Amino acid sequence: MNFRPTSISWPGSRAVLLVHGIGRASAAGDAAFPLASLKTALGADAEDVAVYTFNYDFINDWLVRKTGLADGIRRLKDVLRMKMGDDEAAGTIADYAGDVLWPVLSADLRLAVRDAFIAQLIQIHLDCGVSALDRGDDPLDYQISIVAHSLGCFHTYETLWATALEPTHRLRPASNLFRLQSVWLMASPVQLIRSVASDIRAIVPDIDTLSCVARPLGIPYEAIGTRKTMCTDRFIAVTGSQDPVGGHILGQKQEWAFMNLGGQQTVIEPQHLTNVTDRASLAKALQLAAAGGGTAGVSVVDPHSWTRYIDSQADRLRSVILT
Amino acid sequence: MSAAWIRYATAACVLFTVVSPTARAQPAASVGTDARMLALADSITVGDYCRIAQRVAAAPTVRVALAADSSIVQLSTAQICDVRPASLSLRALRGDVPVSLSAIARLGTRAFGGTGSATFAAMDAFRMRTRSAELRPVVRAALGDSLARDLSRITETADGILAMQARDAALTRLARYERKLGPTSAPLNGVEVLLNWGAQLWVPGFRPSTRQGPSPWELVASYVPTYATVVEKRAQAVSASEFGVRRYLFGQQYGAEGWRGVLYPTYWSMGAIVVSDRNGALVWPWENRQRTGIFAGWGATKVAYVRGRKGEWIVSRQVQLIPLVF
Repeated sequence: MNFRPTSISWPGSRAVLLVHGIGRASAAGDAAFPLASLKTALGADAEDVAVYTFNYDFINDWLVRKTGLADGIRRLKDVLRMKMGDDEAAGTIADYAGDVLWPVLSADLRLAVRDAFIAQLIQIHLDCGVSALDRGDDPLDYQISIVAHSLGCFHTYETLWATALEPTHRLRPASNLFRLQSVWLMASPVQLIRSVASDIRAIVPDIDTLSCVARPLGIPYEAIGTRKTMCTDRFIAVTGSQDPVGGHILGQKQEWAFMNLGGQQTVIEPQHLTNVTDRASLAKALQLAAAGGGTAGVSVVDPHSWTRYIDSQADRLRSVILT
Repeated sequence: MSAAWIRYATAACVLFTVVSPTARAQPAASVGTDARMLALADSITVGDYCRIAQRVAAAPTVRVALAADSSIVQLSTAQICDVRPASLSLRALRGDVPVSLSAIARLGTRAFGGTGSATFAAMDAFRMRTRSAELRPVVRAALGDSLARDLSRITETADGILAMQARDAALTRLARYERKLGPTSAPLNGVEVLLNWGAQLWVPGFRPSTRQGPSPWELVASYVPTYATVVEKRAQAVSASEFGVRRYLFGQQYGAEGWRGVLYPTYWSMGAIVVSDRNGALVWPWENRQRTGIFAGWGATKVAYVRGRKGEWIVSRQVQLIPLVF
């Protein structure tokens, strides 16, 4: 398939790029993105915000076909699911474990995703320019935000470093004045990937192009002399207290997996793995179970759900993106 | 003799009937936005940029706000105001459209010899310093709303047409990745996956590049049970091991579909070949006495010459029978 960056005539002066994480975004199309939740979060102003989506499943598919390892990856995911039980969280971790192998171990895949991402960012920049100039506005007064989830956070992090450092991409924050209104990384595995990739760095090809390992973790910036210009002033990391991808296991923060960049705003949502969150709901669930048998009334909550993150951060998203 | 050649040709045709799915990897762009940006770039000349830059550079409040950067802005303005390309549109300066005869006369050459890139570099330097978040309010106050709008239109259009080039460069690199990894590429077996991974680790020529995209090279080390030959007027299968390199063709005309793909395939390959002196499918190449030779492939079609008691030509088509194995 030919990748075609999405192009939108901006209805207002703001745009949001949603970057998908793991899973089958291509197959589900727009349904794979939490568009309804974002629209709800932005409220009445949602109609004035251009919403772009980006996924890279098709590039993963190239490599899976090329290497014939599809069955191996599927089996690995199946084995992981088996070991971790059948709940939604285990499925999420299993998907993640399979999908995260490629960007670390394949430099081709990593840079291919980056180029697709860069092309999409430049397209947004161009759409911004044309939309603003057609109205007699200044494009530099228009605003772009990125909201990424899961593995999409990793690709966002790597791409923003690449654009901050490489002149030919023409997206440097100081030299090309390409600055983002805000960057949201929801359940970011950047620190987790750094920890794992550092341990196996001897077998990671082209490690210099892997910013999360090749340089200290930090908000991407361009340095001119002693002056550093960040890619954004609002770099917001959101994770949940039960989300393993975001660096938490059974409610405990894992320093080796929790992303904590200097200057980032951190939000850790209190989460529960089931809908039993207090004594009253426990009592109700036990009564239901005693009456009907089984686990009536108790359901498992996916701590990694992108939609839940958007829903829970609705107020903050609205206030930052619409500032 | 002619009958043997007819059999060779027939065998080749049969091999070609396994038509692999292909997809042309070409950069695609947003037509609406591009057309609008190019129209803007057509309507603005370098002279327009020069005039507005001079207004900005001459404004006392701007000079004060620029402080040490003021001299860079003056220098950039002087470079933008080079009289030779003054009548060129921004699009012509980028080299997209033919240049008028009068412009050629002024420049003294049909080729700009770096004038375009030097002028764009000066525009970048000017924009970076005068359009920053700190300077914009100062410039707006100094120029007034109308001129500030002109400044925005001119500087952002110049930036926009260069951004289009950067986007197309990213899409070209992505198309190359698709050529090398996508549906028309050669699948790798397990040994090749490891070899090529090692090559990316330790051999610089096999690594991808941030500006160029993937390396065109790939190592070949495969067991191929699908070669065919003609012995005593009868077609026979031949199993072989290949060791060599594959080079992907990144030119736009390559990676074509169907019969056109025969002329413009996705890759070529060459290297050494080992076969047993016993012909047959699924024969171990090191069985009995081995024979060695060379192979060359143009796309999926491969021809090899194997030495032996008498030389022998064998042909095959690139196909993976069992994923990850051969």
